[in-house]
Amino acid sequence: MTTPADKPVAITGCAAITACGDGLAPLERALADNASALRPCARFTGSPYQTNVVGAVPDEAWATLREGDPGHAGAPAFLLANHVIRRLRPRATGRVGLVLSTTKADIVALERGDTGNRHILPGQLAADLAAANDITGPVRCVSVACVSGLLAIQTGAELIRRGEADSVIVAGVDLLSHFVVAGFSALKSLDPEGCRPFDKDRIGLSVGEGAGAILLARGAGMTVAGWGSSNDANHLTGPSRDGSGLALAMQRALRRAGVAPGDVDYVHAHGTGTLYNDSMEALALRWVFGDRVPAFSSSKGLFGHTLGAAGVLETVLCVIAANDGLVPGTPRLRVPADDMPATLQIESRHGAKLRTIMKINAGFGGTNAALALRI
Amino acid sequence: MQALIEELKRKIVAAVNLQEVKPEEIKEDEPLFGAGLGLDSIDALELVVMLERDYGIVIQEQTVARAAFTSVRSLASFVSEKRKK
Amino acid sequence: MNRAAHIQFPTAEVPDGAWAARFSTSCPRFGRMDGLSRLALMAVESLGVEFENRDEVGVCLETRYGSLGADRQFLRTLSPSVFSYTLPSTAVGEICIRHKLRGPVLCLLTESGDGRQALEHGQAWLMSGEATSCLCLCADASGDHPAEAAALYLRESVKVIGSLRELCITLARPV
Repeated sequence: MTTPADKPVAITGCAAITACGDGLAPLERALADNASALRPCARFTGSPYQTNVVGAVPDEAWATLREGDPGHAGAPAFLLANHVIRRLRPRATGRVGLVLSTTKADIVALERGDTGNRHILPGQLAADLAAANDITGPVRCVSVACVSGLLAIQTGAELIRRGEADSVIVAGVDLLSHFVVAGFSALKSLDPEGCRPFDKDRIGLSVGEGAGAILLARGAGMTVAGWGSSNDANHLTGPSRDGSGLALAMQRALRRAGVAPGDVDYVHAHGTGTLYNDSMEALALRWVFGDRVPAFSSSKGLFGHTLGAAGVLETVLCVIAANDGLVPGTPRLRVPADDMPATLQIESRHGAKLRTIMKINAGFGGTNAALALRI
Repeated sequence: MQALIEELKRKIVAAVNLQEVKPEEIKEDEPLFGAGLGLDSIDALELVVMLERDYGIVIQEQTVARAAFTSVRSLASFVSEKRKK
Repeated sequence: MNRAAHIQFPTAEVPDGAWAARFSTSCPRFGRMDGLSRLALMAVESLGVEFENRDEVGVCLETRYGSLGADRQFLRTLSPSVFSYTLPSTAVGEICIRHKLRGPVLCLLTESGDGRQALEHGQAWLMSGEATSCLCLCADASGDHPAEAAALYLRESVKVIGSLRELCITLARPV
């Protein structure tokens, strides 16, 4: 099947499962209420880590997933990702591709020493998800730290642009695990009470789990007008990041979209709540927008930092926000830090017209990525 | 105190997996971070883990760590004051 | 001028012995990195490239086992410095830091690890103008197989789709 090659690549469907629950409706409500789904989690109570406050997919949602697919009850990464891919598959037409984004795949299988488990290797997880959903077009598995999701979306858009697929499901997934919580805890990067992005008293991030998927195809919907990525080439985990790398990724996305900085209505930031990331992001925003930084916010206080799923889930939030005429606030933010531009959104704001949105993420290893989305 | 200084030099090299410097080559008054030995923020975390494991000292605040880690000598003073092991 | 390199070790371990001298002054962290990062840096070093237009050099790494070696080490030690290496893209970060490359980046996990996708995506960057040159690599250092990496520095598309590994073995062969 061929579709007009001059129609831009658009997001024609979304699906999600997060700490807010299953589906888009709980996300929509949470965005409107500027709510937070970060809670103490029994899985980590009594552990030696900095905290047990995380963004966990609710137990009832997990139980429903396992009951619905008993054959994969012991394959949580597969269950989560398959859940969202399956939702979008019926609407995918022509030659269908899959791009999976994940940082640790089924890390819990590695934790329990199940070395033969196929889903420990992300490439195999992607292949199995494609097979389970009768996806016979190109399959890619992207793993680039916290920017995996946005790079997966870029990769999917590129596949359509080059004519290698007519539609692409881009899915991001990562699990809450002792591995990841212990790791960030060893780096003393967690906020024991739950993250406070861009706050003057922020001290760390909160880990979350979930899966998100978007369907890309040429057609009507929010268009993926431009994308860009870069590396800081500076320091691995970076206190010395000056924002220029993230600014470069943003400028590349804007240039590719043919959009001027002044046309951007809203930026959905990375905003993890760590001292360094959030300051770096403020610098990057000023670098790109000068003193006209658009309204911006972070949703890490909503369902946590979902790592490989973040870019996809946060793009889903942008789609919901645009559809609902809502500028998202920053859940758990109380008092903005002094170095924050004044357009930082604390509360959600209704009745807005969002035409051009930027979604940005930054990650370990100095990676940066940006998307320019237009309605 | 000198014995503790020499012990800490060995532990720093081990904790940070320093390949190109021997414990005896570290000068006790030279800066550990930035200039001098050139350790970075991740190395600092390894030292925090070492202090907790070997001396029972728990550091929660970044500012405490920064002051203690100025040099091997300042670290030795910090350890002899705070140690529980 | 495109350049190719292929390196291999007898086991899954990546020794730093003979290479340590080359990296010791210019890359003090080399000995403390995980096997995948060291292997990737060695492969790029073998190319002997003088990078220009560093803001426009893309880096695309393909791997089958990714950070599995560092993952296992982290489970044993819970060490903060090891945790940084439990992402395959950290190897890409190390390449970018060492050579000051600020172009587009990508890290792909595949079942074969043969670099076919890295070659394809790198060439796509050249054709779209997203990068003016790129490093395409495939590397594995954590599985049950000998540690192996292939690296290609592309300034012009070779218009080939296929195993990067095979391509580099052919191109890197002494004339």
